[in-house]
Amino acid sequence: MKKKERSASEKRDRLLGIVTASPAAILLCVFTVYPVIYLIYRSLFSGSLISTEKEFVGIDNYKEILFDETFHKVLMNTIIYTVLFVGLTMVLAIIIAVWLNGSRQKKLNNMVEACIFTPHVISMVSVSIVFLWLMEPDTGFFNMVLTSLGLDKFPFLSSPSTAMISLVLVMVWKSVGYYVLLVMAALQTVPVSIYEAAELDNTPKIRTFFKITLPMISPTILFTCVVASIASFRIFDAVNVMTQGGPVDSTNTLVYYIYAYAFRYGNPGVACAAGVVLLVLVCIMTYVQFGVSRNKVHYQ
Amino acid sequence: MKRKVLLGLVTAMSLFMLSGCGSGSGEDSSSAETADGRIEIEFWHCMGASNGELIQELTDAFNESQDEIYVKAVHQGSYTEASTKMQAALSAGEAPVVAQMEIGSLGVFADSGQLVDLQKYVDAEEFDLDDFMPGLLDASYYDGKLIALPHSRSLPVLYYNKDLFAQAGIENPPETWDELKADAEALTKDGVYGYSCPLDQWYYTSLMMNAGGTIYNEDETSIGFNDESGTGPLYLWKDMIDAGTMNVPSGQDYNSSEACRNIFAAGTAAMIMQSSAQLKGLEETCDFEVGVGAIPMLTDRAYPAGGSNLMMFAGHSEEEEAAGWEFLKFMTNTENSITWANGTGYLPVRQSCTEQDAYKQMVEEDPNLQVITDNVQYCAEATFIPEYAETKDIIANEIQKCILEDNYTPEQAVQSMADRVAELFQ
Repeated sequence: MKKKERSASEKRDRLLGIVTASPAAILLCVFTVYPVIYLIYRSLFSGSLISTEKEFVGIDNYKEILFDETFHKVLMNTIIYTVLFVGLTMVLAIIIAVWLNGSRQKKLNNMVEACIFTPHVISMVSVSIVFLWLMEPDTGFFNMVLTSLGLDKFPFLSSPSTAMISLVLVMVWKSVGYYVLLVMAALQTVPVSIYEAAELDNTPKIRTFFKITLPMISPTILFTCVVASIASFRIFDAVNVMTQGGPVDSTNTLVYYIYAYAFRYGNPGVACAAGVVLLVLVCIMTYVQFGVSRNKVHYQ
Repeated sequence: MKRKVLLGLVTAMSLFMLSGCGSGSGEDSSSAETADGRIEIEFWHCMGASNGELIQELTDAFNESQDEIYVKAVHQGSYTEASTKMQAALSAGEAPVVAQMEIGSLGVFADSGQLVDLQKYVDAEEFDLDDFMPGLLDASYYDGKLIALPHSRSLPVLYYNKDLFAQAGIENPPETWDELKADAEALTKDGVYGYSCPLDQWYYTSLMMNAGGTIYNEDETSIGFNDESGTGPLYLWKDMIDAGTMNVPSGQDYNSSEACRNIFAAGTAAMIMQSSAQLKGLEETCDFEVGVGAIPMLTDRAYPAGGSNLMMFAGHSEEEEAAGWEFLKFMTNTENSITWANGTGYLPVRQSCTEQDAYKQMVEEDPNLQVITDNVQYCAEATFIPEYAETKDIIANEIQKCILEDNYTPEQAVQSMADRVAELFQ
């Protein structure tokens, strides 16, 4: 008897749960689950976006990207970009955050903070266009400065060997402010008592940084690294506006490759196959992120 | 705790849905009837700035010229952007009736049966197609069907700085590759480059065609320049870059063309290759006299067609299509063709244009236009198969690799183009 009663209230709770969660669940299904399933399904077909006939080709699209040298290069580029971007951004963000955190000049701090953060809120397209001008090899501002200092001109985006690093620098400039804020937030959670103890022992500043500050904020750093990696795996706007993947595919990245195949070459099947590869890679990274936050992030 | 989160989610979602409803109740974008009973059709174009204003003026003039049809002109960004949006619109069933699309994208749309065959209107009205310039009308056919009318058409030309030419004692623009090299050498001094050209497939293809090649071979199994006509332009550019007489503008695609025009306007390059459609813009921005010459040739004279056509998209009612046809005729008639050519620098698309006083006056004021019109006859027949977009990218890619990277010879580059394009046909 008792058992039955409980199950009735359980049922009611369940129903309430379903009713209240359904709007979110439906949207999730329509905008996330369905596209993912369709992506996988579409990657098995040939035919353009607008053609009425689609032909089932099995794993041919996957074979195509697997043997496509451009795709290998694109994957490599994406990984190189991610490593360079995340590495540079995190190192810079930590240095700036520690400096801002330690400095006692309130006004200067606020100004620096504002300056560093501002690029983050500017649209990526405008940033790209401005940097396109600044980095112009012959008439651009950067090379004007370099030549006036008696240095050689730097080719920036016009040479396959320097285009990627130029792109990374623009993106680091744009997003470092955001990561500075995250690191600063983490720094403020480090208890002052530990620093006081270190001060009593006369510990050098550098040693304090490596032995206390860094370990204390490491969970946040790891977490932001993974988030930044996932974001940079999907870089598109800057590539589309500044380099169109060139010169010679030196800045061609995964999402730009997908875009080109879907909309320019009229071959969305291949684009979807590449999209599935991206999905798998991002899933792996997300998994790592969950692992990291479960095991390493501890709240006080 | 869980409940609160859930509640928050539900609130957020319902807000989201509300806002969704707000924007969803807008009017049907592709076609409708206006309040006064006129048929409303949409027209997508890719013209910005002053060209965009002019195309709007012409559309307004059409709307005022009659009271049955109302055309709504919408700017959709660059050719590439517009083509992307069109594909999305077509798969959603929201395509406009008429659109201006880059000629190279013709194959993609025609191949999937998305374009209306205009021949039925031509037959019904005995519409005179022969008046269109022959070199331009070629790019309006796909599989024998007339699916476009020529509109904003252009061809690659050589612009030169007449002041710098006079200083160097050169009278006429170079006619041949050897003259191009010699002139560039004479013009290069004091930080001025003799010649500049984007490492872009269009200019490469022009030079390649002038050396006797064709984009595809006869069987359409690969490229038609896997010989000296393909390697020639690359050797020409390499030699000139090594000699310091050629500048390579930075950037890709349209960016590099803009960079190229900037250094020409600044006086740091004496000759550049650009689209004929840039004539008016260059004449306005340059504070020296601009001259126009044909792309120098090796053995032949032929150019890849450029610019865009007006196309009609399928999936609309007969009424709407008929309205679209009226608009197409209006935009491409002799009078408007001259207005368009005069205001933009695009080619006059009809032979009858050249007989009109308005056109004669135009040429008298700007003899450069005559040079451009004289070259229309050399526009080569176009093969805009769906593989064309990828072919273009492959060509551009290999050219850049050959020029920018060491140890990659023109022979290797052209062979690689041949292999990669052949793969597209498998």
